[in-house]
Amino acid sequence: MMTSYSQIPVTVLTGYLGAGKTTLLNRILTHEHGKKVAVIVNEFGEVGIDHKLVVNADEEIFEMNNGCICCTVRGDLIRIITNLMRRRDKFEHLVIETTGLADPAPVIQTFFVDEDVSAKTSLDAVVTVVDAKHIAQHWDAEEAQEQIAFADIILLNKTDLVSESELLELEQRIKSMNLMCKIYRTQNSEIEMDAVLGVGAFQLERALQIDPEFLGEDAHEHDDTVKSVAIVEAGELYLPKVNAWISQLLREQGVDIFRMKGILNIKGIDERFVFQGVHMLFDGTRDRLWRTDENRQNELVFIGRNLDPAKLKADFLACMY
Amino acid sequence: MSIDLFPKKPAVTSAQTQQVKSWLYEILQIDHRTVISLSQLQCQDLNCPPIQTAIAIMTTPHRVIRIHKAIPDITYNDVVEAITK
Repeated sequence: MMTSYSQIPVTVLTGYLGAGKTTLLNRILTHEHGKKVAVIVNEFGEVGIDHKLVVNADEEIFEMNNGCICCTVRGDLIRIITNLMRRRDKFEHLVIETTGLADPAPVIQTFFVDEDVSAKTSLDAVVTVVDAKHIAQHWDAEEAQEQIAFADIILLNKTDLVSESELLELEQRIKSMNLMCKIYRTQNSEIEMDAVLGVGAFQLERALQIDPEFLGEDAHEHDDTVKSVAIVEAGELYLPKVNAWISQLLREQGVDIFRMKGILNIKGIDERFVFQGVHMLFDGTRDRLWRTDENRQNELVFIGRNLDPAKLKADFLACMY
Repeated sequence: MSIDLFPKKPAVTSAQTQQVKSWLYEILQIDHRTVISLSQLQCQDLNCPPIQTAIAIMTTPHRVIRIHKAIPDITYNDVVEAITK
């Protein structure tokens, strides 16, 4: 997914009912940030202002199974975006608000796979609003885990209702599930607009910025089904082995891998190889040249359920030249 | 044949996508308001060609057809064959 200035950036806004999604949405629509924003919502009534570029969506999920790869797309979004593009000059950013119990995957995959949508738009970030007071009741819910796992930005909201130690515990637990996300503590979904709009989280060339704290053996002290696995290793990789390993991984565990992202150092090639994936969908490309003063480090992150960190690392190391 | 997960992907123009869609609307005799989604997908199976085009036609019930070519290479006859298969 290449970004060009003519592509509309898209923010996916998710979170449980009552977490503060709509409050954030209304802030985005009323804040004077200089951007004209179009919005796709599930219920018109939720948007508290009269806004001409608000479109109601009824989820239509279609499974695209080509025999080898299975992905889901939102047919309603394809229709709406096609129609919105007729008013392309009226907006500069698109926000899609999902339902409280939504799985973000079909929304994200729609932007990965549909040719028209991916030509006209560019996924900017998945923003998840989490109710700091009540998330404890939902940790085990699949939807809550998915919404956290897919997030690039998490607003840990209603922080005034919980203690500092509870907040630290929540942040630790969220990070063990999704070490790629950035967490902001908020009250009433108050946040600088730059933190949620224009993030560029899906730009392949962005650095992973893996926190070293989460590379340790005890990084997964919570017994959550969903976890992050990070691999950071020097060394050169043999490309045919990388292709074979990742292909097998996607076939066998694609359903359980929510997101993956990486930068690879391939033997004999001076360009960085970068990739990102959502379930079975994989997008890889040659990126810029490694700089001469740059540490050619391989960095990979997998976020998913039922992941075996030791096996992932062993299989990765087996790709070394 | 080995799988290449980092291929130089064929560039697809909007005109090419719209051409395939217009063939589909014509052959299937469906309303232009029906959403058709075209996706070029890489396949991780050695038995598949490296790039396939998956086409979701969002009628009720919806239909997915596959053409074992990249979008720029698809011809009218490819579409006819895929639909009648």
